[in-house]
Amino acid sequence: MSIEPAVHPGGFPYARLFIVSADAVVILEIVVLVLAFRRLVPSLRLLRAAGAAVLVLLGIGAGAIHAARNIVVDAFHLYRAPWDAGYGVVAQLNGLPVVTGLCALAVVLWLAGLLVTLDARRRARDGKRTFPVVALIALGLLPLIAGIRSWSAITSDAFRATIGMPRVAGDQMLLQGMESSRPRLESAYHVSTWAIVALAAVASALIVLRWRRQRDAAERVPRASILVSAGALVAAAILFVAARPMRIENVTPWPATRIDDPAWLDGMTPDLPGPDALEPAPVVNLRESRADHRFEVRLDDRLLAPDALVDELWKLRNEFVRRHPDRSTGDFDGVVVATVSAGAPHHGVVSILRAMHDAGYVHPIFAFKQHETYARPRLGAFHHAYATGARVTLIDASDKLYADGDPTAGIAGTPVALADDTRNTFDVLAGKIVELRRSGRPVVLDIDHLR
Amino acid sequence: MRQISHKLLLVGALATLALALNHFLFHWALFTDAMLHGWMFNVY
Repeated sequence: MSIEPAVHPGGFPYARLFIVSADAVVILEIVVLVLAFRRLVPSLRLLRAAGAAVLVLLGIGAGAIHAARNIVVDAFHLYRAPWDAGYGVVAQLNGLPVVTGLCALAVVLWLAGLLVTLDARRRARDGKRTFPVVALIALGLLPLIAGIRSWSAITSDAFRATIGMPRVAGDQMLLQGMESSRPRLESAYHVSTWAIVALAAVASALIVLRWRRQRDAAERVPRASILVSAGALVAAAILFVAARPMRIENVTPWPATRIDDPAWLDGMTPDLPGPDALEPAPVVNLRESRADHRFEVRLDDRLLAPDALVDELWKLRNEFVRRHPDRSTGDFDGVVVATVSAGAPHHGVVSILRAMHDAGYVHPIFAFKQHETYARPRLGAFHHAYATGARVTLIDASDKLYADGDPTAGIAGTPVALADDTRNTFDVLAGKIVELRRSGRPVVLDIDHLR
Repeated sequence: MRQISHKLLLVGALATLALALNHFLFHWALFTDAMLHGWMFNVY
């Protein structure tokens, strides 16, 4: 997929609605906090209203992220342009830190208002101070909020770095970004888990100590405490159940991401399971031309006259060191990738093989396009195309002459003679080569005597 | 005794809620990572 349209700095669906609502809620929380400080008996009704406003804000934030996710799901199902999936992912990366950060701020302000309000009401009632230590537990979530911010920033940076880059390098960069950002999120999750447990232990200890000091005081158990406990347990159960489908998706490993050069996949090649890995190398494409029953030759996506291929390959060979500054001329490996369409005519195949051989590219790897469907537990089916290869060695009469008439020119392998049958198309030869390579035998293509 | 048991119940319940929220938020955010994987994996 192209990643170019995906980068959209700062934006996510309903961003304005969320930001305006968050501003309003934060202002309301600050007002509640100030009133709680100033009034002798702060109003619980106002605190409840502020709590309801926080819940509404959480709903808007969740809705905004959900809308961004819908973009991705629709793109996956082709209800909209496939590249919109990238846009939807970036929208989530933009939205998650903003939504979680502002919601956390609103919750912390509300908790501060709650503490001050309860303290003031208690003082007004019996002159004693109070500090509901259980509110401390909420602070345990702050590492996760920071982790989401860090994870999102690293992944977004990787996205931005891909602008204008070729697909292969861009995908590589995105993968690296994902690999370095995910551990941040996982560490933050573990830190938050332990922080919550530790804060709960501290809160329990403080409650016990306080109770020992005041054990004579005959206080009734507030009904609200039981209701809050029951409500918290119900909400926790709902959250665990709601997280379950996402957890199953998140813990299911993806197959190793293969980043194939799109040029290897774009050749209408036969659907064959070649056993060899493809390597970065010049790509020669051959396909039949329906117009005049001839064929078309491309080198690195440049259309060439078939006769010009050998000269163009020579040029690439001479530029080998310039293209690979880390290697010397002696390292030239003679590797070229051939994407040949299944219906390419025999004389076209012979033509490009002879050009490769004569330019010194004697180790062509034939590329084949394969498809697989991969079912994910939550995201559904994904269709993946990947390239496989079959490596051969080319020889002709001159090689055999230098090798004292050895039919395989001194190269270990199974010689495959290209039948001089002009009716054959490439898929016949490809099937034979792949079968031999899959049985582990090196293949030597003898292009002697072929026209 | 009754009062402290209720207070400790409240601590336990709120800690469970915080852990559930932590769990939910973590997987909620990570789901974006899964979508990104899907986008890179998919081809049409």
